[in-house]
Parts: sequence; C-alpha cells; structure tokens
Amino acid sequence: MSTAPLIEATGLSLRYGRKLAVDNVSFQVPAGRVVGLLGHNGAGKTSLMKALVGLHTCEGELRVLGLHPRRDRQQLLESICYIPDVAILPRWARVEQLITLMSGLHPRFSADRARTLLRRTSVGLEDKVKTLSKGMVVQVHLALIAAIDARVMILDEPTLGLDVLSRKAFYEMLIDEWCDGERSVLISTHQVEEIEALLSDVMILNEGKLALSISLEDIDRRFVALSHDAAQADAIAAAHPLLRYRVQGGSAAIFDGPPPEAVQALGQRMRPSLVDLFVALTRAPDMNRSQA
Amino acid sequence: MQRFKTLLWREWMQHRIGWLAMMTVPFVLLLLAVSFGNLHVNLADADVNIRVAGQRLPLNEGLLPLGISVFGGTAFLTVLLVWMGNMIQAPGLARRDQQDRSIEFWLSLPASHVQSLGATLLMHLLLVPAAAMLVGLLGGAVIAVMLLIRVDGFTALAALPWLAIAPATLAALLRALFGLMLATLWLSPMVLGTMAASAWLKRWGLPAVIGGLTVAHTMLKNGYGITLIADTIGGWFQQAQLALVGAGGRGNLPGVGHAGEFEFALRAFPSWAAGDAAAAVANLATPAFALAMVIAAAAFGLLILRRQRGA
Repeated sequence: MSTAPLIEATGLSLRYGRKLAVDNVSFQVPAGRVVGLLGHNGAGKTSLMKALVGLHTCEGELRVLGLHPRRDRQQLLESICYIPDVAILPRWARVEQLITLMSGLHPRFSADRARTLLRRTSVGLEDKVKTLSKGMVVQVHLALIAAIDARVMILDEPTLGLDVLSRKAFYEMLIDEWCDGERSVLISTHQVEEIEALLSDVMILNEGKLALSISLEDIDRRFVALSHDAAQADAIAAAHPLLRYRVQGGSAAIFDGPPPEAVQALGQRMRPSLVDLFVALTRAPDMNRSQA
Repeated sequence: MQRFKTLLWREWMQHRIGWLAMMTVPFVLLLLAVSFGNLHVNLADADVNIRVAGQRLPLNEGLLPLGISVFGGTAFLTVLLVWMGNMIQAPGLARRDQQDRSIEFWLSLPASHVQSLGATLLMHLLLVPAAAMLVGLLGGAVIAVMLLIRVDGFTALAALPWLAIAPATLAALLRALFGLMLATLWLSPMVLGTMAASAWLKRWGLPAVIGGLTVAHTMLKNGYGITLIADTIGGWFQQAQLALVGAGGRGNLPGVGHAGEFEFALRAFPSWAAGDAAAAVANLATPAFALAMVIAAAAFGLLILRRQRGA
C-alpha cells in the first residue's frame, strides 16, 4: 500500500479577483484519516474545498490522489466524492432516477450499494427529491456518494440546517458505511462539538491562513487547559494563555505547550475541547484580551 | 460514450413531460377534429373541390393531395412546435442548473463540461425535434387515413398509390432530418449567443443581446448606411429556411396541377429531395456560414468558461 498522502498542498493560495481567500497554506492528508476543516464564515473553507475538486483555480502546488485538480478534474472526480455546501439534488428527479444517472456517469458507483444504504433511511426509491425534507435530501445525497468506491470524500458543511437527529444519522452513515481505515474524509462544519469524536485530525483556517493542522492525539500532547478559581485569574493571565474562558464553577485557560510549573499548581489540568481551541486560535486578539 | 448517453438520458428525464405534451398536442387536436368534427362531403358535388398548386380540383381527384397535405402538415406542425419551443427556451438552459441550485451536484460528477453542455444542446436542438418529426409523421398518417376514410370510406385508402407514397415519405423524412440539422447550424450563433449572454449576464443576457444588436445596427445604418448586422442575421434565417426545404429551388419539382401529376410528383420527390439536400450542403461553403460557425464556437467557449467557474 502506498504511503503517499492523498491530498498534498504546498504554498497554496486562492483568490477572488484581488481578494485573497486562502493565503499560502501547506498541509497533507494521509490515507485513513478523518480531517475536520474548521473556520469562521469567510475563512476560506469552501474556496479550499472547491480548489480540491478542481472548481477553483489556485496558486502553489496542489495534488489530490497525485492529480492536478483543475487539469485532471474529470479523472480526479472518478476517485473522489464531494458534497458541496449548497448541496442540493435536482428537485425534478426521483431517487431511482438519480441512481440511474449516477450509474451512467460515475464508473465507481454501485447502484446496489446505494439502494442498500437507502433502505436504511425513510426515503423511498420512487420519492421525488422535491417532496423530501432537507434532512432526507442530505441522506439521499450521502447514500449516493457513499456508494462510490472512492478514496477521498470531501464534505463542505454537509449538515447545515439539519436537525440533530438528521445530523446524527448522517454521521453514523458516514462512519459506518464509508470510512474503512484506508479512505480519508475532509469535512468542514460549524458543529464542531458533534464531530469532534469522529475526527482524527483537524485543520483550522483563520482569515485564509492555516492556524493549525494537527492530529487530535497531538492536540492532547501540545495544548493544555487549566481550570482554576477566579482568585487565580490574574496569576493565570500573567502566564499569557491562548484563551481564558468560563467553565461551570470557575474559569479555565488554554496554553500552547505546558504552562509554567508555578501556574500549573494553580489549577487542574484538563483536556481542551476542540471548540475552545478553535476559539483560542481564531478569536481576534483584542477580544481575547478583554475576556475575563 | 456511456457517460454522454447518460447525460442525454438526463435531459429526457427532466424535460420529457413538456416535450411529450408539445409532440402530442397537434395530433390530439387534429384527431378530435377529424373524429368529432362536422364533416359532410358529397364527392359527386362538383362545387366541392380542393386547391392544389393554385388550381382547383374536384375533391374525388384530390384525395391524394388532401391526404398528403394533412399527413405532411401534421408532421410539420409538430416538429415546428417542438423545435421553435426548444429554440426559444434555449437561453434559459444556460442557467437552468444554477436556478434550481443543482449545479454543484452536476459539477461534482466526473463528466466534462463539453460533454455536459453538448448533451444538453444536442438533445434540445436536434434529437427531440427529430423525435417530434417521427411522432408527427406517425400522427399525421393516422389523421390522414381517418380523414380519407371519413370522406370516401375505405375505398379511398385502397385507391392510394402506396408504392409512390412510401418512398416519398422516407425521402421527406430524411430530407427534413438533414435540413433540421443544417438549419440548427445556421441558427446556432443566435441560439448559443443568447445562451452565453444569459450564462454571464443572467436575466439581462437576452435584453443585452437584442438591445446591443439593435443599437449597433441603428448606429451603423444611420451613421454610415451599413446594414451588415441585419443583413447577416437575416441571411442566417433565410439560409435556415432554405436548409429545411427549397435550397435547390422549386423549379425542378414536376407540376402538380392534376391528381395524376401529383402522383408523378410523389415518385419524383426522392430524387428532388436528394438534389435539394445537396444544394443545402453547397450553401454551407460561404463566408456567412463560416462567420456563423466562428460566432457559435466563441459562444460555446464562453458557456464552457462560465461552467468551469462553477455556480
């Protein structure tokens, strides 16, 4: 089995006219990883994902499965699957018609597998897309692309606007039916808490720059959170944490690296949540300073 | 090829109801008219006649022209309705998938932009009108047979020169299909041009093309006495019409002043149609056609570029 990364970007920049959407980012996605791409609205997540599937021109080096996404777009799309952020299936189509179309358009699509996956949902094959709820449409879309024997799946805000049950069903289908330890998923979402348990890696984009690209194991090793009493707040602040925030029954602070020993004794060490880390790395510094 | 066929199939899935409606409406209306219309004809009455090639013939001598007219007329009406309908709707195709927000889904599938656009154009501008022609011919045959039976009973059918009708029908079908393709090529700069304008300028695309051409023509004509724009576009329309029928002139079609001569004309029709088609092909070797192809290719390129840039 090749150990080459499935996605490899070096010095990648994306522009909309003169506006820089993604600024000189470099990262790799190896096989068998589930990577969360986090960022505020306008951070460049959708632009980056569009570049990965050849829908956006870019500067720098970008290879997906060893292919140039823009130049080899058709060949690349045979080996990856993609749900865009404005994913909507054609409203005129019936589910069975979509399976027929996918069978003819995608050489790695399995109609039987799609029907099997759809049987686990409440969607019928004869249902028209326009009669389905938003959650059902997303489940159909996932069932269709999960039936593609691809190596990389790119999901851009796939559960946006869905209720919690639909989101849970979506992620269960994704993990149970598609991830097999060899395939990789790159997923962007704002529901960080919900997918944290699914992720193996995280990339955080902040105003087009890659603020962090790290595995979750390394997060535990690198970042430290200390919960402490309010009385220790000044001493903790003096150690320049990345973020200070309130937790139930007190305050907490996140440090990049182990805090000074004297400070460690002031609080109780705990694992920083991905949400807190995200806020710590993407929040404007002036807001961070004003945090109590 | 499988992928292209699937893209054609997608067009059929999405638009089949409208197309089937347009294809069957003329047939159904004529069928109702022939079935339930108030039709009382006395063939012995010399005052009842039919006008053929400028001459009035007693109806009992004009059954063959009558049948052929109804047959061909139904087919012509059907294909005209579908073809013109699709031509008029073509600018909207440029943004169809953006408007129903499914463009990202289609762009996520491994079909090239050329394949995707090519399938849409081929289906709407050629294949469906060709299918409409077949439907129209079949429907026209039914209507014509029913009409003749109502006028003169089954004896009218037995008296028809089927050995002349069959090859003439086949020749007419082939000539019409070929003409349809050539006429579409002649009109392609306008169809693709308005599509490209809609793709880039959205709802302002069509008004921009029409307004821009009108202003440019007016300025050139009033300022310099140049009517190049109107002449070019008018020439394309005229050539499209000739591509469908009459490119070689109508002089060599035998006169049809009498029913017997009409049967003779039917027998001569296949060779006339072949000559007419050859003349239509010869008309392609002109600067006007070359200009049409250059503009159409540029517009197609703009459509591809728009699609490459995503939704």
